[in-house]
Amino acid sequence: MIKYNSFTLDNGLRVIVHEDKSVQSAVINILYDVGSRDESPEKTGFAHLFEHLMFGGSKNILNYDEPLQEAGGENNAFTNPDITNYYLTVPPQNLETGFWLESDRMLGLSFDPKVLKTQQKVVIEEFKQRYLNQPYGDLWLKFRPLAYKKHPYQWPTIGKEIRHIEEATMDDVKAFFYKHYVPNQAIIVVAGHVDTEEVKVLSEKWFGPIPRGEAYVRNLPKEPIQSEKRFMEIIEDVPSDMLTMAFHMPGKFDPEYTAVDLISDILGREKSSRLYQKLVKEQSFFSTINAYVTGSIDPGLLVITGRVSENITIEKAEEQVWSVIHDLLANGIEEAELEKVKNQAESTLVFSEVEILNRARALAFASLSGDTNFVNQEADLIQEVTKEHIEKLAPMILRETNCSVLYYKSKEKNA
Amino acid sequence: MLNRTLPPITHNISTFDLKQVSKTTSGDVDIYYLNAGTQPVIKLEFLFPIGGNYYEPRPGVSMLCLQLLKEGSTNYTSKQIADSLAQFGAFLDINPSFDAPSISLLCLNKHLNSLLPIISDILLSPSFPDEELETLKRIQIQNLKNQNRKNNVIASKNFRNALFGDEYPYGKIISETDITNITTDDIKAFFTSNLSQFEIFVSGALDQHLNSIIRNFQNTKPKAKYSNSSNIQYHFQPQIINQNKDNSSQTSVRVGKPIISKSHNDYVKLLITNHILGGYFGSRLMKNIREDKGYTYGIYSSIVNLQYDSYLVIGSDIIKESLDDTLAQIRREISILQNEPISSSELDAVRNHLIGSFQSSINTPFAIMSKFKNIHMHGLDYSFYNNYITSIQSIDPYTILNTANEYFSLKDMTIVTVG
Repeated sequence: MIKYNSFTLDNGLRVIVHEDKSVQSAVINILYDVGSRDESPEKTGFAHLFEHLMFGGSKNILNYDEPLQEAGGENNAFTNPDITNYYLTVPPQNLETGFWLESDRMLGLSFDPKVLKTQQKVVIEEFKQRYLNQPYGDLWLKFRPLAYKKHPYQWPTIGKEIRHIEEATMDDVKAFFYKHYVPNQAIIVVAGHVDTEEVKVLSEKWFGPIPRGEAYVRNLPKEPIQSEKRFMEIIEDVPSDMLTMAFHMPGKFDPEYTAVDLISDILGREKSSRLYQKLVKEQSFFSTINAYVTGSIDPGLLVITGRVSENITIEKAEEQVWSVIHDLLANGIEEAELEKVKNQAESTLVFSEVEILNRARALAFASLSGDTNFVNQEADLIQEVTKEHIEKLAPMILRETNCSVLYYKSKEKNA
Repeated sequence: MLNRTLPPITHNISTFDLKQVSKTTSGDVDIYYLNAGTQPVIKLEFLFPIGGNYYEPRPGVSMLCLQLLKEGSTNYTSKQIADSLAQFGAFLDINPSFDAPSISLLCLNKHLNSLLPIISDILLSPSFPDEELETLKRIQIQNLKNQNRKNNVIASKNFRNALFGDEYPYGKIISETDITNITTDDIKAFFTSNLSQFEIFVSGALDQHLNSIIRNFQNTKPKAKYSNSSNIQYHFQPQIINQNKDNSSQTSVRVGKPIISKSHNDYVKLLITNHILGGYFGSRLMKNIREDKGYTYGIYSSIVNLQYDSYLVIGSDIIKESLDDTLAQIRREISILQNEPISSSELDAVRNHLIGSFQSSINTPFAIMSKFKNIHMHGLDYSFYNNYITSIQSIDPYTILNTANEYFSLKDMTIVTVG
């Protein structure tokens, strides 16, 4: 149970406070309701590039990092298809430094051309480091457009291609800022060694004067229902064949989400799961295999992925995965099996709440559902899933016509 | 009207509370415990002080032995172990190490009593089934192949090898053949000689659970004490090793050398000096090579403390064409550190950042325990942290300059590049 207080400023900024005096630091988490799904297909990678620019000086402050470090603080940020999230930790007595820094960059950026130029280079190196310069690094770069035909989830957060990052202009930067970085599209969580009353005063003082922005109405293309199995093959200089299969499923705040999440756990979470026991341990078709869900806000994917053993063809390996799926569809699941994945999901949830920053992030994210208290309902949602519910849903998700398959083949093995 | 150009007044962090770990015993086993935290969770870690690669007869034995613990014991099969852990929503992780590896159990405290018999059986009477070893070897060989396609992994391995050499345990590089040749007998022998002694570290909301743990291990038989009788030495020679790869889009660089250990009087000074050079996001290397030049996504300088040796390593993945300039800039930043006293504003920032990040790194019971492990492993006590904080508060620009001259001289550094 994460206790919190919340209020909204006149400019629309939502503020959530989670007091925990057992923690010696204070944290501020600011979520901007914008991710790579909000980009134009011609200018992808922008939300993430923009995240970098947020550290390059704001309207009245030359540099973001230095004053924070002087106050004993640390910070970072991440962008994903749904959100851009900034967070900092600071000694409680220097909490106001965090408010000063975060409010100034919500008010306006320096828009320094040198910062844009350097960060374009840094992001291109990040692109290479994560996506190009390691085996299978480009897997999702190639696979996303197979699974998503219309929805912007078809490109990765880093961008479709390096060219899009290179071509970003200062006008693009400004337009993006004034469209998305406004108080009415942000959620701020202040947590740890803090007082709600103090946070109210500081929020009014630093964020209160920032003008409300125009409302952003999200109107993204819906992904049509998939009606036939999709297939793609890549041959690359990688050590072994990798099989990836993805099935469309509901988004994070959908009532059916948790049940489908548990289906993925039954199939492929850790070593006790069906896929691992049958295809790695009992018979050695794979050297690793697991299943998980992407957990995105718009309809996401249930993904099965595994590295195929050396003496097995990837075609044969795929057949074996289908036979595990068909067994589940034909014979259903065991009560004990459901109990097991529920317990795993419950402890994962509790473990994730040990860290104060994770609690702050969870509160901010839950607020996007429209109800911050969603954060405290997840445990119940897990317990409410029944065997019948799973058996009803499984055939709707785990069907061939809902599946995209990628063979990422090893050049060496398939020579 | 709010003046946003003026920062709020900041306060130096003078004091904070590092909860101390207590000690008890169960039979012959030392138990270090910390009752803390608001979530109903427990982390129970078994640390093998002489179980690491340093002590193994051949590369790979320690890692496979640890992993095999989970794959069968007198009373449970591999599948039963996996099922029971999952049934109680628990996670059992293997943490390999050059020196003291561990296995750690993370669980809700309400399930600890149900899990203790399984954990005991895994630790005290593993069965090391042949077929499980074969499965693990197959998986490990594939993992190794995959790892060896990554420039940053190869660079780190080659760097260690260049520092310590093929014969010294810290310098060895594991091969596929090493894994293939390991037998059940190797594993059993290593278990008996090196993994049958362990220490317990337990943290979280312990309540009455500490007593269950004590009861559970009180019949553990006393074990022979190990003494490090290894006579192997290494002879460090600075080298430059380049492994060029035409199809790489980036080059991985490692620069460094062996350096003083944690118990040395100058260690904290070294740590602070290293922090200024490349220990955090605002460091000089990061500002120069990432924020000014845009050659990389990140560059860091770190001090790695192994049990018997320590080393300094500066590492980064950079634009291929910028290799020469990156090395020149590293040289330049070290030279500035050696010749120009640090400004008081930069020193203030470094001080507050070091203390602030220490404070935020002790926000969970698990993290507080890991702070204890870091000193315990090196035979140090809590005075290390008191000294750490007071040294940060009192260090002056000339001490930093002298430390840079003493420990960062460039002529004896090894440089490894891949890609």
